[in-house]
Amino acid sequence: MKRRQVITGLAVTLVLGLMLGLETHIDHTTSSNSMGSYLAQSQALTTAMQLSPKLQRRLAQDEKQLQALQATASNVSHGLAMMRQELVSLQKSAGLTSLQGPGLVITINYDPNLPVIPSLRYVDEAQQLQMVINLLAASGAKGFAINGQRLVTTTAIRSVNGLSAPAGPFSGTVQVGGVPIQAPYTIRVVGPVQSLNNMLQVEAIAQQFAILDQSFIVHAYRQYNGVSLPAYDGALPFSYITEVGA
Amino acid sequence: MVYIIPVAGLVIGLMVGLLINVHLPILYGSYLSVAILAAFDTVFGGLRSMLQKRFDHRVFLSGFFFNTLLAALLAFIGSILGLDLTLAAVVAFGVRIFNNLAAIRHLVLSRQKFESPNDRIS
Repeated sequence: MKRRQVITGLAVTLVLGLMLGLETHIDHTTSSNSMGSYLAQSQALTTAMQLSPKLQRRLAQDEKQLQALQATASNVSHGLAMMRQELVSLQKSAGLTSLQGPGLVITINYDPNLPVIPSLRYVDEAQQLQMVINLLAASGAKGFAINGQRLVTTTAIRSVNGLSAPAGPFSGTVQVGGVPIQAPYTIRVVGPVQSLNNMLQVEAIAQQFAILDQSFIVHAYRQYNGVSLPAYDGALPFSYITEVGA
Repeated sequence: MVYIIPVAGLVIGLMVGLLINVHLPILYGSYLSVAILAAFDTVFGGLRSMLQKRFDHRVFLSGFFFNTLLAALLAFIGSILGLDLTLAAVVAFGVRIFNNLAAIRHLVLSRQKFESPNDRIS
């Protein structure tokens, strides 16, 4: 009799413990605990149905806003692409990119075989080079380089002659964009070959240089990749300044 | 020994319940709670009968399972009907549990009183 009681107690307590253990698997802290009856579920459904139109309106507003933002982003990206294209174009025309095309290669050098005219030997070499560049630019040149130094709109060609410099042609130092160069001078120019050549012929540049004991040899390259110019890699005018109040 | 085995059974059942890998839907949480309440009611009733020397293991065992299942079933039916019968079961079983506990307390205290040597002398 006592044994049966013990077995009964064991069975009951086992089941009770099992139920208590299972109870711990249920999260009573969630709000859905109140969904235990159909009444609560119907109330929740009514609330959800009342809330649904508001959420749909909100969703529609959000979609409109998303479309507006996407349209704005599209415009911004299109504008950015245009600006990039313009930047590339400006870089090309400013001489910040390498250039290749038909053109001339002009070599200026002292020629001892030419007749000496002493009074004309004291010339400013930078002015000579500047004159040639100006004439070529006027006849449609797209880009220049003197002894490998690319010329841009702000490039200065200067003669830097000290008081102790010896007299005579090629005696001083010419600076192109602040970089010293030495004779012989090689001017590489890209542009319409015929027009460039005509300008040099009309202005009789070779003869002018011959008077100064300097040879002026022009080679024309008519191929699409005839003359190559390097990109300008010097300092830009705004490299060393900052906007006031920026 | 009589009390150790039920306690061991409770601990073993609790461990199995905790370790078992089962996910009960939240909907069944109220049914299980009412069933546990009914089980407690039966257990306390059994203790009371034991103290009153009127314990019958057949009545206890059948009452335990029957009350437990009936309580869960009533809660389920209540949810179908839209009535919160869970609350009614909680009140009913709560009252019964407190009555049983009060009776157990009285029985334990009265037994101690009769078993004390002073009472025997007087």
